[in-house]
This record gives sequence, structure tokens and C-alpha cells, in this order.
Amino acid sequence: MRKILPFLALPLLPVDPAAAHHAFAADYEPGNEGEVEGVITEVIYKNPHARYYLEVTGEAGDKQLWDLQTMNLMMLGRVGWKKDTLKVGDKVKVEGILGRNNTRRMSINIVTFEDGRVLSPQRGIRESTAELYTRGQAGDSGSGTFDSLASNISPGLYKLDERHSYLAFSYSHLGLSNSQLQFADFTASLDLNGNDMSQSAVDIRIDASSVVSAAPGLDDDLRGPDFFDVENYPEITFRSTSYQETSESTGRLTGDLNVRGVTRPVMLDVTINSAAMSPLNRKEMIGFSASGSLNRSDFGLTGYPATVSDEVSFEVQVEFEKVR
Amino acid sequence: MNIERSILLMTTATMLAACGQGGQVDDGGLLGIPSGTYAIDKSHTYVTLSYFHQGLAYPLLRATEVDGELELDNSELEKSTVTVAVSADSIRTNLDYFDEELASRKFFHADRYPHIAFATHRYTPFNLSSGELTGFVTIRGITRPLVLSVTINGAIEHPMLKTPVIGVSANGSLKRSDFGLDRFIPMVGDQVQITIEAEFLYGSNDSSRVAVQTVDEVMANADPASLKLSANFGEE
Repeated sequence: MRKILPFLALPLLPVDPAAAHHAFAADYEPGNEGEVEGVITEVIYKNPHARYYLEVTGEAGDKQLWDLQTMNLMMLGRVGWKKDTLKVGDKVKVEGILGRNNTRRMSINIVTFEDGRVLSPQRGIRESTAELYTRGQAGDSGSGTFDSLASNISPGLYKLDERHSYLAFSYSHLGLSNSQLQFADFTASLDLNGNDMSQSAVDIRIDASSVVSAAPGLDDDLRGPDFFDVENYPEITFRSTSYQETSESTGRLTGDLNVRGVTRPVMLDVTINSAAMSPLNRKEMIGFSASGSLNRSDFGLTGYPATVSDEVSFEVQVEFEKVR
Repeated sequence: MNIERSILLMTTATMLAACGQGGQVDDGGLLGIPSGTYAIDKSHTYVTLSYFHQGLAYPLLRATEVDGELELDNSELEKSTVTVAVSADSIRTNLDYFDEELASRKFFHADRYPHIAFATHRYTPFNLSSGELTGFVTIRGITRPLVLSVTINGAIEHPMLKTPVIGVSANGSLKRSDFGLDRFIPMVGDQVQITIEAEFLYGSNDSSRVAVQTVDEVMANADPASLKLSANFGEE
């Protein structure tokens, strides 16, 4: 089996222990991409990140096990990537960001099957590589500009397009189902600092009373003193503190989330879906998907402990337009 | 697996002790809850629709009036069926004008086609906790096949309601253009991702019965050509 791997000889970099737990850059080296080819031997379709083990046969017939990682399940679901999209026994070529220090791990960018089908966790499932890289295929506007995103990003101040932005959160109810709630009203601003996304900042303000579930009685409870206590804390706020690029179109955003007067850091996996001039209003637009998770008890939201999981995952789908 | 199984058995025992009534006797089946009719628990059921909007983001639309029934065959899971009716004017976007537009003739034409209906063709279990549900979905009188990946998250006695309950997650996708919902393609994606989180409670209720009748009616009135197109769907 073919094996193309840039040989890595990296100095050991000092790693901030506080950041080591989840920091992408501690495990992977953004910018250093490679590809491996092999057979999927194990699928771990779980949050925080779906993982796959790939058995790669070396030129000498030796077997190596690679640890492949991709995004969390919510983001994967959004692009149509399912539990059985990559199965044990699948023969695939995987391109992605390589692990540091010659570790056999990779953050998946593109998967190519034997039959030519191409998948990208950022871009969904496509029939061919050409389609993956082509913008605006008939039938689905999905493709985006895979290879020229950075050059499309226009620095400046952006405001949220509230009509096309969504904020959802989810928890497990009795281990039976994952309730999908939303905040219907929120606003945000984005200060995009050119091609250096790490120098950008985002602020989100959520109207806590706009929470909506499938049960009106639950909405009332959530607005009440035991949960969001909207009378005393009408807004939930998020202010970014750092952005770490994991590829041109993905990154990890860290920020301070304030719920009910309690501020805690949270981390989001971010995908920049595209940045382009809207053909409709001639405005510069940029669109993101992002998701993450938190423990609600960290914010003092401890009600219904027997029925509702402590872990709450959230999903952000936002479009911004440039104002100056 | 053994632990899982013994928890299921324990749950079964607890449930039988708690139920203690005729007709709810567990048949020694696979899931530890009885075969029979289960109604959607509307307060714990979420259906999200999503598509790529102008290449920028994936709006998260909610179908808010979802009703239906599960006929669970606990000894042969593949004989189980699910029937679901969604009110065509109940898609919520957090924007009143868009909600109205979706219900209008431009999209679902809810006045004329009040329900989106799903009827089961077959359930293929991969194991006790996952499988593939194939069925027919009818939108605006047009029927097309739909394949859903299903995960059974749990089948237990409900700790508060003291009645058997089963919780599932499912997802799949369809092309809206197949149903004549083709406005703004390709600016707005054709592919619509469907994410379902649902709980079903033992026993039927009025609204679940109405939903089943509605789906029967919708299927009976479905364009025969579109059903024929789907006739071989899912067969080997």
C-alpha cells in the first residue's frame, strides 16, 4: 500500500500545561499536512471528537495504527456525516494535519474511498474531488471555496445577520433522547483582523428569555429563578479571548461565557464555511458553524439532576455582514 | 454487553413489578419493554431541519407539531413500525415572516397539504441499539423514500411516569427539490438534513391515533406514480 508521509523532525516544543488538555496545537501541528492510506479498524463515534483508528501497512509489510480525529458529532451531523459514514473495514486515503513529534495521529481534512467518493468533515460528502473543490454545484450551494478562503476574508467590523443565525443547545434527557433547545433572540459583533484570525474578536449577547423548547412549561421553568433567572440576569454573554487556527477553515475559539452572573471559559470548534461578497446585497459576508460543550453545574444550573445531563452541548450557526 | 443486558433484565423485572396489570406482560423480548403501541411524547421530541444557506451557515429549523406512534415488536424488532405526522404549518425559524412563507403556497402549502407524513417501509436492526429505518415521506402530496439511521438510546420504565418508554435518535436527509420545494436552489441548498430526537410512551393517545389515521389517509391519497417509483426501494 502506498504511503506518502513527509518526514517530521520537530524540536520538542514547550507546552503550556493548562492548555494541554484540549489545545489542538499541543497535539497537532497546523500547517503540516500529510496523507495516509489504510483500513479503518475501529470507530469511536463519541464527543468531544469522533475518532477512527486506521491500520496502515508499511513498505516492509509492517502494520502501524494511526489515530484519526475529526469534529464533534453535532458538526458532523450538520454536513451529513453519520455514525456509519466511515466503517470498520473501509479502505481509505486520509489527508489532514499531522500530529506533533511524529505521533501517528491526524486531524482529518479529506477522506477518499476506493470508489472515488470524497468526504470532508468540513464540507460534507461529495462524489469526487473536483466537486469538493468546485464552488456552487447545481443542487447544493455547499461547496464553498476550499482553497482560497483566506484571500476572501475582508478585515473589518461585522454585524450579525440575525435572520440567518441560530443558536441551539442540547442535553440528554433520562439518557433517552437529546433535547434540542434554542435561543431565538441573540446578537453578535465580529472584529475580523485581516488574515490573522487569532487577532480577531467576537461578542455574543443572548436574550435569556428567548429560550424555546418543545414544552411551554419547561420554557417557563428555564426562565425562572431555578435556571436562567431572566429577571435578574436578562442576558447571557460570550466574549472571545483567543482563536487558534487548526487549518485555513477551522479553529478553536476560547472565550468567557457569562450565565446567571457566573463567568467560565468555554471552547468552541469553529468552521469558517465561507467568506464572500453576497450576490444579493453586494455585502461582504462571512459564515461560521461552531460547537462545544460545557457542564451546566459550573454555572450553578443544577436543577433536574436526575433527568437532565450535566453536560450541555451547543451549536452556533451564524452569518455576519461587514459594516465597515 | 452482559452488564447492559442485566440492567435491561433488572429494568424489566422492576417494570413488571410496577405495572402488575394484564396486557403489559413483557414477552421476554429484546429491549426489556413490552411490545405494543407507543405514542410520541411531544414534550420530549425534537425534529430539526437544516440546509446550507448561501454557503455561509446551516439554519436550524424546528418542526414543532410532531405526532405519531411506534408499533414495537419486541421479539422481532424488524417488524416494528413508526408512523409520524408533522403539521405542515408548524416549522419554526424564529422569524414570523419566514414561518408564514414556509406554510404558504411557496413552500409547504399547508392549507392544501396540512401534514408531512412518514410511514415505515421496513426497519433493519444492526443490533439492539441501532438500525436503519426506511420509509416513505409525503410532502405536498408527493411521496419519496427516506432512509434514517436510528440509535435506540434507551428502553426503560419511565422513572416519573412509571410507564415503559423508549428513546431514539435518528437522522437522514432528503432533497427538497424531489418534493417540488425548489425555490432558491442552488443559493439555498437542496439537501435537507433531518435530525430527530424522540421519546415514545407506552400506550396510544388521541393525538397519536389521529396522526396514524392522517398518515394512512395521506398514503392512500399519495400519487401512485411516486409510490411505484419507490416500490423496489430498500429491497435486495
